[in-house]
Amino acid sequence: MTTRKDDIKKDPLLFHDNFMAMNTRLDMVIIGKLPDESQKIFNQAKNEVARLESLLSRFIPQSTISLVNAKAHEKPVLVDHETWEIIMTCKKYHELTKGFFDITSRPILAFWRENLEKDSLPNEIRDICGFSRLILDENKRSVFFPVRNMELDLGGIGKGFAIERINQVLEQNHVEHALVSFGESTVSTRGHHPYGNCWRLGIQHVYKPAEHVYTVDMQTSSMSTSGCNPTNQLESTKKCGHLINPITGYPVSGTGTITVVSGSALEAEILSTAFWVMDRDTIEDIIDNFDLQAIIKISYDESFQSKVEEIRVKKT
Amino acid sequence: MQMEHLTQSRREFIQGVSILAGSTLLLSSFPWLNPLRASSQTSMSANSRVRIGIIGPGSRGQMLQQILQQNPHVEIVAVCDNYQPNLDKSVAMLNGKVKAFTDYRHLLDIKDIDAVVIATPLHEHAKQTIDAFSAGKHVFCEKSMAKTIPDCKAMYDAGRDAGKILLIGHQRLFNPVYLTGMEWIHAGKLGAITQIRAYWHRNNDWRRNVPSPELERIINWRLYWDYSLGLMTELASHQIQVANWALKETPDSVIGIGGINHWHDGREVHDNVALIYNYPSGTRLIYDSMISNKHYGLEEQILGPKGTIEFEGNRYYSENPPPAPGILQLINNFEKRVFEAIPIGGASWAPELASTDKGVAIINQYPLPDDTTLQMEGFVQAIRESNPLEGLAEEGYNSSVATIMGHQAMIEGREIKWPSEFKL
Repeated sequence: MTTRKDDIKKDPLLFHDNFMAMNTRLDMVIIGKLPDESQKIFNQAKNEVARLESLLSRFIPQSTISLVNAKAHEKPVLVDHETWEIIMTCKKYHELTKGFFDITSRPILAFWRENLEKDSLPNEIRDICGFSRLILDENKRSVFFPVRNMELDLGGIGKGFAIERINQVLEQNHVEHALVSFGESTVSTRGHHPYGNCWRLGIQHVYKPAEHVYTVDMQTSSMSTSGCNPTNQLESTKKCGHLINPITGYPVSGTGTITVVSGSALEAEILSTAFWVMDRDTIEDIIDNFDLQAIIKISYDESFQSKVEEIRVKKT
Repeated sequence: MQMEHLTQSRREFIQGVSILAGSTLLLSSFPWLNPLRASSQTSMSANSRVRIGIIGPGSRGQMLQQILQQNPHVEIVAVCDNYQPNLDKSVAMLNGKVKAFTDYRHLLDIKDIDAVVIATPLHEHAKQTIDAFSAGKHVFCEKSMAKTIPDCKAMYDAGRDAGKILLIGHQRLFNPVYLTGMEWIHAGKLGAITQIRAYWHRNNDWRRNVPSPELERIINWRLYWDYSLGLMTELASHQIQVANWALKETPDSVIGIGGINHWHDGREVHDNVALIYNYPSGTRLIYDSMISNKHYGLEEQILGPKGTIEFEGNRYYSENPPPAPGILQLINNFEKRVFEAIPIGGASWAPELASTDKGVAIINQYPLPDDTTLQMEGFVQAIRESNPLEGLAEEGYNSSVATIMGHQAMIEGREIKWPSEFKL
């Protein structure tokens, strides 16, 4: 294996390519590997993401999750070891976030996506959501829905899982410097930029995406951003149909973003979404359950001025 | 005198040529462009002028004449047409300062004519071209080459034996968009080509005004088998040439069906054709042409596992989506050795799907020089510098043979193979 460890400044051996997965774009930048080798690593990562998607996607009829969604209200559905581990990870984060992360909330999301102007959530939808309703048998690795029309949806965290897998591929191939961006909302880095001592990422201005409001210096770390902007919220109430509070079942209002930087891409992705729908007290309440490098909240007033709140910034 | 105006457009044209001549890459890949390099460097004061005769200045011929009239390195010495109104028009375009003939053999008798431009109906190309070579002239002949494969071969052989230039009017060979796109294709940007689709759709009767009935076959020669092979020789030949060029090979065989389903007006040639050409690499050219609907216009689509090129529309589509803007900035910064923050951490909701991909332009520079003008420039420069247009007689021959094979497949209702005795 030929690796160019020294001299990345003189010849950074930049490789870039991208592919579509999980309905969005994944960009990979690899530094310091010969082109053939980078291409091989890229292909390996791409295949791994495709494999994961074929397990977890509810849009793929043959996926494990689709099978669960189709059959688990009739009888317990046995799942493979890998999917079971993923469901167990979701359970852990459901508990650590006091229920603010919940992979059974899709019917509520689907309702608000179509009915953002309405005032109340129908009971029949609320009654088919909630992780605690699931009947999980750890011995058999089976999932059972006690009520009809329940659903598992890993769409919100699939990107986090995928980046974790890509990081494993990079590790196995001894890639020292790399950047992986999944839909630009979750970015993972290794090592540093060839002409700097870190990767310097800018959190985008929601009204001016070519500009950034805050910069985060990262080495081997992951950053995930969630939030609402004018393109996806109801103008009158600033409510956003894709981010709901799973405890109340209602969408939250406000324009802005929350960015979480963590050693784990999965954790960053889960928490950026969960923190967005939590109040500040709840965040403070659970924050010590995690080892986070930064939590940055950016809000915007009516004249589009940004306000940065460093909820947590760990100085290194 | 119109000279002021002509000089102006000529200057713009020369600027356009420098796009091509400035690209060393293109010049090394496409040797027939070499004469153009000189053209963009040569001063406008001509010292040697190429003396040209035009045979068949009808609609296409007059267009070629006009292009040549703007070239200071050209003197049009004689014109010839057996249809008097076209001859008169051609002479008038030159303010009468030209010799006029109704029999092309008299034009060929003029000793100091260097080259002829042939823009007559298809069935006349072979004899006129071969006679011109016998008279020691270089030949530019409009596409398609001839009506039969032996005629094509005879034209090709005559040019080779006479040591003269034979250029068939496939002007896409001089088109900057095609040249750049072919460079990409041959460098593997699309991966190995797996399919080519091409079509040419118009919605008109393909007729020209006939002043009196006995002139029908002379004016509307494209509609009758004695003079033309219809859509194949008049339209498809251009696109078959593009497919051959992209694949760097010639088809082994072709199947096809054609007929008349709309213009039942006494014409003989098909008004719709559908064919599949089979290439040795296993790639197929799927071709169709019709003249009763123009919604899809014309296109040549080159498809490979990594991308698609649409030449007529000047578009390239990657199978991969373009990088995110932040990533693009990062890549550009590497090239400039710059370290700075890139805007990337945003909440992405709207999926960007490949199906909405509008592609990118193959060439972004406008205005681009007209390809027919470039082609005539190349012809003239090649003669001035005794620099043959390397490879172009073969391009013309190969596309013409494939065109005729397609016609035979439709008429005989069977697969037609490239006859081995007519391989170059």
